[in-house]
Amino acid sequence: MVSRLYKKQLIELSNNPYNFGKPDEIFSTKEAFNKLCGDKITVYQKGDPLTSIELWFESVSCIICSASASLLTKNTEGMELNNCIEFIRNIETAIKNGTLLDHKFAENLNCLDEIKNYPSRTTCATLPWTTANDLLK
Amino acid sequence: MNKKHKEILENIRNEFPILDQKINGEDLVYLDNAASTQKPKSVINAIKDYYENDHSNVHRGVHTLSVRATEAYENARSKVADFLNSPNKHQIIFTKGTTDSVNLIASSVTNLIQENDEILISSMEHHSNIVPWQELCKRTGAVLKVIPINENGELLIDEYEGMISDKTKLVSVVHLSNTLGTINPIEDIIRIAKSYNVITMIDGAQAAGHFPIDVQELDCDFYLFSGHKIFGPTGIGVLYGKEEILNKIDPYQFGGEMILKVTFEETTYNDLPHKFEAGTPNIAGAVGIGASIDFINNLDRDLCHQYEMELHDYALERLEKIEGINIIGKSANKSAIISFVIEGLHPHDIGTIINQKGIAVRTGHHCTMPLMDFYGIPGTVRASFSIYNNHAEVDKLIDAIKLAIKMLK
Repeated sequence: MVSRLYKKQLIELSNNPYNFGKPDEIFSTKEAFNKLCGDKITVYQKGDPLTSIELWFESVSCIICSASASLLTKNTEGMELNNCIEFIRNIETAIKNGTLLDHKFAENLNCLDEIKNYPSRTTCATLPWTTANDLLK
Repeated sequence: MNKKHKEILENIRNEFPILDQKINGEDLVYLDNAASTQKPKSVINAIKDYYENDHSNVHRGVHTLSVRATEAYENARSKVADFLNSPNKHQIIFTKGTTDSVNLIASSVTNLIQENDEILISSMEHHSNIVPWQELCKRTGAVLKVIPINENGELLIDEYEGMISDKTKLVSVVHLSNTLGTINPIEDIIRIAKSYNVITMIDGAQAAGHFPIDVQELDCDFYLFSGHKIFGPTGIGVLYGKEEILNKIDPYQFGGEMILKVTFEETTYNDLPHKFEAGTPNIAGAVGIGASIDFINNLDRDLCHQYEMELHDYALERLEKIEGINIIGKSANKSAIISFVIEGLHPHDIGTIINQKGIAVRTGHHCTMPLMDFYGIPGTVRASFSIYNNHAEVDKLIDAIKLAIKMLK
């Protein structure tokens, strides 16, 4: 059922995204497009990433992409750089493979699990994570 | 529409076996016809029959199957020639599709284009009628210019007249916009171009399946379309060209079939149309497109067009009543395509939810990203109608959109 994909939590995250906007003190920026639909996302690292990760984002995108970006910025906040890169790669892989629930990730990420039943929308969920990985690596 | 007409249209729907299925437990409502139309039994059977009985490689073979395959392939070419009212069948080139046809022309006219020459396209072109010209300009130093449109999605003919000059060498414009549904005044576009002796190319991918095309009356240099948008198979397309210019431009690809004589020192190219058909062609695809033309020729095309527009008008009337909807493309001369956005909702989210109700629409930029930039939107939801759709399906579309709004807002 499509209502399992568009959970209340997902819509909430999209309507009230975390760290949405262009921060001051931008250390680095990465822009990416969803080749399937042309949606655009920009991920920013605020401050020196060697001190602490603080990602922000701006996007013109669907609910799934903006909610996923919101989960990215929330869950990576305060992480150490190398741990953050590994975490981002693990989440991206888990979304692609449909194995989010097989790991002990933060519970708030579980709302992205249903995307495994919508292969045409996987990129919507992974785009923020792919972009963040490209930004930090 | 009288009872007899309704019966005719119901019978047409029965010719399309794919429509009789459930998607997510709901009856399939296929409204993605601008992307690709479904196939009638006659087309499916023609391809099956060809492979079961007549397949071999075409031309040059002396055995019976090769003769039969060649006849099937060349008969299809004759059908296409009649379909477009081409003066000769050798002016019909089979390609992989419209994109391939544009690439063929953009590559083959290179010898006619020089630095600072100008190529004109319109703001509503598909990427396939933008990128090949950008590449031609890179190769030659020519300049790509874009004819503007107004907010309704109508080409600004006065602006076009002001842009065309002695520098202009080629004008390439879409007949019917895949995103907006706009039917462009190609008769005027061609006439103005001709007064400057400019080569004209018309992208008829969307148009050819909806209304009769007469290339002699249009007087265009090139007209192109795809099989899969006129109830035929994928992987086959058509390029019509005027004989004079087809003889003047270079071949696109090189190899077997397109030669008359080869030595290690030099090659003499084959006559039309073979000069542009290197390698073994898509024979079954040609048979399929021939069958799709037979199917179309058996339709009352005026009735079908009238019916498609009736569906369009009914859908538009109901869609316009939905709060927050914005119709993209309001040309006075339009076909049965409706693009729209709903305030605060992303097209992909709407598309995913209404798919749950069995409804297939296209969402996104429709390979017209510059057009999306013009309207300041990332994409649209596009419902495109064909002869097998009906009013009840429009009602299901409206209900499903209302459900999506309720779920997402």
